[in-house]
Amino acid sequence: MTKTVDNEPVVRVRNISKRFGGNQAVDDVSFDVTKGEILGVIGPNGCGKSTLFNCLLGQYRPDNGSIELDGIDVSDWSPPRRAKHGLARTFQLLQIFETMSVRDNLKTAAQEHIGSAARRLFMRPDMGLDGEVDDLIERFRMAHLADELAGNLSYGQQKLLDTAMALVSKPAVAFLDEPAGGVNLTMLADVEQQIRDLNVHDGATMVIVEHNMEFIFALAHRIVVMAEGRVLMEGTPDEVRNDPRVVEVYLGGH
Amino acid sequence: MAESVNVPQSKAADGSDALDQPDFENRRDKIAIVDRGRLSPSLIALVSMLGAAVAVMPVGRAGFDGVIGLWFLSVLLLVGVNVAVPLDTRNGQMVRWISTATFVAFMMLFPIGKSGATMTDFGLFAIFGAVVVGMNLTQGFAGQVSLAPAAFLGIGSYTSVLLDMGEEVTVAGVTVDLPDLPFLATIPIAIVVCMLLSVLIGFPALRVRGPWLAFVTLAFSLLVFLVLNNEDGLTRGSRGIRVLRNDFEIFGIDMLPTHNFYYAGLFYLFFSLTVVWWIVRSPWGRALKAIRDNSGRASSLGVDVRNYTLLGFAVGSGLAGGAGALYARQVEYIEPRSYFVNQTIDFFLATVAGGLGTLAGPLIGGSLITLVADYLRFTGDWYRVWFGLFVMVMMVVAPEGLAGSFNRFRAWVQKRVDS
Ligand SMILES: Nc1ncnc2c1ncn2[C@@H]1O[C@H](COP(=O)(O)OP(=O)(O)O)[C@@H](O)[C@H]1O
Ligand SMILES: [Mg+2]
Repeated sequence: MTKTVDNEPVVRVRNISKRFGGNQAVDDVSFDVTKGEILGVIGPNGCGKSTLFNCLLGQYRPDNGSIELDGIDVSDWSPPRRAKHGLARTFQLLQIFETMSVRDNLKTAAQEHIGSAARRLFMRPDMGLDGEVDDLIERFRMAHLADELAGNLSYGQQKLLDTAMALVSKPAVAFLDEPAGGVNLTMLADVEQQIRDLNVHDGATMVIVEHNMEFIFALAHRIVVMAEGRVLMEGTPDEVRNDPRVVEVYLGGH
Repeated sequence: MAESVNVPQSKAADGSDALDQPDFENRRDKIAIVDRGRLSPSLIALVSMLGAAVAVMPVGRAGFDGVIGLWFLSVLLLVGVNVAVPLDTRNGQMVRWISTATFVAFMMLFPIGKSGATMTDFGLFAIFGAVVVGMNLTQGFAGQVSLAPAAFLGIGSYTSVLLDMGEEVTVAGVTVDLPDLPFLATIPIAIVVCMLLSVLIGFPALRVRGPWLAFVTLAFSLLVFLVLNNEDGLTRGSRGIRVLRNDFEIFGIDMLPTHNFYYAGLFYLFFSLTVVWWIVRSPWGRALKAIRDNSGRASSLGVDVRNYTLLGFAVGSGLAGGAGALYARQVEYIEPRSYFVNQTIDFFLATVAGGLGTLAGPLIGGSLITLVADYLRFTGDWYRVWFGLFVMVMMVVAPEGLAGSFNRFRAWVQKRVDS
């Protein structure tokens, strides 16, 4: 595998903390995301990975800390504003538009990045996105499903669509929360292949939370290990694999 | 509260993973409304049929004649074809456009030989139809309940009438000379005033998700009524204003006689339908649909939920305002009572009964509250009771409204045909 990464940080996460009542879900988390890399985020269930994503993408307001995109502090921006400026995401549980076709799901995901709101009112309904969207559908091998209602797809296909929606707008960084969660073994290889492909060929930068160790170790250039809301360590897959602390978190605690 | 802009409410404090889901309560019901949000001339044909049925009802004023009988048959035929031919095929497209053209032709030719009283009813249908079209944009497409369409109708009426009288008014001790603008010029003014006001009240109400817009618009309606009723120097209070109909000519034709004025209302109805159709088929329509389907996901993809919803509300209110300008000339006398909340209830029932989130639904609903209501006039004020009961029963057996039910029926027939 070619893992080419240059060293310019696109996203800078600093001291993010979030408390729910007496539960410190995220505790002073900092890391950088470098352009062109796949950054894995792992950790036992309930260690705050999804909460961290919600803080970074604006669904939750963190108690403390900031996130910078290309040197601009976006901590006070609304989720749609962050999305429009290149921070895309998926949620841990499947989130697609079930009553819309696969094609429309992807167009929705792409359209807000084009033109101003006023111009969008007067643009053709397809907004010239047809080619781009169909390419992506083709790559995800869903061409025969393009006009199918998303709600009628199999779970694995829906999961793939969800991921595609985060990436169709070519975001600066895509945050994927368990893209392989619940996906069966046959589809799994497919998901892995698509993500690698998007990274290698399109230079997509991604932060991926994943439970499936094999999956994430194969994909990520770098991994952040979280435990009880804190960053336990950060390193290459090999470093992480061989770190005694990580072994303890996974075998000891839970 | 301050922190909940677009933030999913943490409902499951037990810490289950469902917390990570954005916004469950807000996911719209997944009622299988076929081709929701698309122009569906077959439905419009259905409306024409309804109109024709009303026109031939023996108790009515219009009376039966051969032309209407022929019309009735051809509409039946059209509806039949519409049910049978799949929408997405080329034939289906053709059927759609023929149906639309038929509807337009019907509405255009209908006044020939009709009495003034019938045309008053139909004029009212066209104007109220436009209000319901606007309300449906807010409620059916943007997914927010506004309880102020009657208030905006009133604001539109008073704005237009006051600017068309050239009289002196006194507000809060200040006396102002109002201009005497041509009637036509006051229509866009009424629209813009209503849009601005709706942005003003909608912006804070739509900051957080929930039924806040319904509450705020209800309060707004009461406030508008109070102002209209009590600002004597401006609105002449409960005495009302007799509306002068003296300056509405197009190409030298006096548009004010009942038959001609019907065309003004009809044009405005077509205008409203076109505006909503345009919005719904544009990328905005896709965004609105995405918001109804899963607003948390939409927001995370860059769809500004608040702005889109606000625009849907503002355009809907603006259409009600413009309708108010026409309504004032239709009824020739405006008073605060006409714009009270009970009028909104009529609009609301019409929107729901016709079918939320469809283009033809408002027409069906609009005809229910004007034309059918007129035939139920012998029941006195009881018609609201019957109508309310009808809507309640319908919400139980066919929650997608008449237009939605028709769509479902068509889907059912086509499934039979296919297999
Ligand atoms: N909205 C919320 N309200 C209360 N507690 C929450 C909420 N969201 C997450 N938590 C808690 O925060 C902790 C981290 O959860 P989460 O981020 O979902 O973990 P992970 O994604 O790593 O499995 C858990 O203890 C969870 O119970
Ligand atoms: Mg999680």
